[in-house]
Amino acid sequence: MTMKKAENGITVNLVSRQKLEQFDSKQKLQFILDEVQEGKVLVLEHGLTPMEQTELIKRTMEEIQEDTFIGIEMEGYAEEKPSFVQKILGIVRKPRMTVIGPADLLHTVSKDSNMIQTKIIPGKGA
Amino acid sequence: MLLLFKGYHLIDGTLHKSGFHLCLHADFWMDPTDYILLFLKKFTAKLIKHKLNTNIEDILISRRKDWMGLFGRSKLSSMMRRIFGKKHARIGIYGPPNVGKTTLANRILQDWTGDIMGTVSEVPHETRKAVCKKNVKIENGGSSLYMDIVDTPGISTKVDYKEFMNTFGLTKQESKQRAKEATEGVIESIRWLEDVDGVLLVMDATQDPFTQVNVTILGNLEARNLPVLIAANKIDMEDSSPATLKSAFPQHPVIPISALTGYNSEDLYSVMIEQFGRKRRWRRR
Ligand SMILES: Nc1nc2c(ncn2[C@@H]2O[C@H](COP(=O)(O)OP(=O)(O)OP(=O)(O)O)[C@@H](O)[C@H]2O)c(=O)[nH]1
Ligand SMILES: [Mg+2]
Repeated sequence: MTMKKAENGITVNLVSRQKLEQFDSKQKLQFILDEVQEGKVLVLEHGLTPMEQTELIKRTMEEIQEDTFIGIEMEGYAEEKPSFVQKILGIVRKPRMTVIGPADLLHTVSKDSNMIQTKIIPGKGA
Repeated sequence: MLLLFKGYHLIDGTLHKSGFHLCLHADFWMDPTDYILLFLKKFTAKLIKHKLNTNIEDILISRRKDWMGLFGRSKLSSMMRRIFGKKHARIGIYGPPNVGKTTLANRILQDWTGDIMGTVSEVPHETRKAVCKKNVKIENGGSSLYMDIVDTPGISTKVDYKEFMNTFGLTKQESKQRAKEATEGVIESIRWLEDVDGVLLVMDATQDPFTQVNVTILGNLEARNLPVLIAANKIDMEDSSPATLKSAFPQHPVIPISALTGYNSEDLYSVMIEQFGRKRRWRRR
């Protein structure tokens, strides 16, 4: 399976805000999990809210299969804090971009408050 | 407590439209500010639910401090508490696997009850079932706090049985069993998150602070307005950098500790009492 992945190349999908906004939370998480379980790496223009992240971790745990799916790697940034005026106006800032992929493929190299560096290494588990 | 709202009333958190212009709420423990907020939450949510593609509850929660300014803090609930009850809070010890949650839980129990929470191991996912110890009283100077302390399984986004085999030399069968229980443990930890009044978030001060698990747990607690205290653990180790954790999360108290040696536990206890013993915050249901 690993060999096949390497031969066929690895799919990296950039998922637009528009696409993500079509879904409700549940559909969005299902979409992400389906894609990641197929071995794809996703870069989401809008990341997930903390509640969605939590739910995604829970759903991932339910899906883990010994030899085929060991979980996800996910790195993103928290929501930006709205200013006082924005709060009054009811403007809610969306979480920022996020990268999600299968844990046996996607590896975080480093992450600071401005940049996330990842590597895709086929067939290398945790 | 009697509250008047024209045309609407609220019973046990549910909004009803009615001809009555008043409602009686039985929960005396609820802060009136919270009560009004809850009402506004239900009310506004109903009105603009289908118009706004955002979570109205998040807006209201983030605005809570502004409302507080408008209505002023209520004396009633704290008076009631002073008359009827002791300070009591259920605190979850959370964090990624292997950061020292159980070591810390054992230390807290050793210091205050002489009890033990659970086993500690260098192999991640040692704790795979949450354990709750009730009525742990911690004291500092004149103040004290009763806590139910929950030691939770480490939260991770992946569990690979091969890691237990290759890195820690467990047998294949042991590893597979451990992995299965570990995934169930993570789910249990996440479920408990709904049931705690505050969180002691343990981080390994020798590691990168912005790991996804830390970011997710913190975001979750912030969204629900729950008090959190970060324990920057393992500072007995040479390569630890509690200062990095402090600058990474300036909006929360960060206490450098060593759960292993007990270093700085006094400091931790006093901040725990301060942080978790405060007037119980509004909890989202
Ligand atoms: N040097 C050092 N080691 C520590 C400290 N606290 C815990 N450890 C070690 O870290 C390892 C993990 O400790 P645990 O308490 O089992 O960690 P945990 O967070 O409960 O881990 P899980 O239950 O697997 O999620 C053990 O080998 C501990 O001895 C500390 O303050 N300093
Ligand atoms: Mg443990």
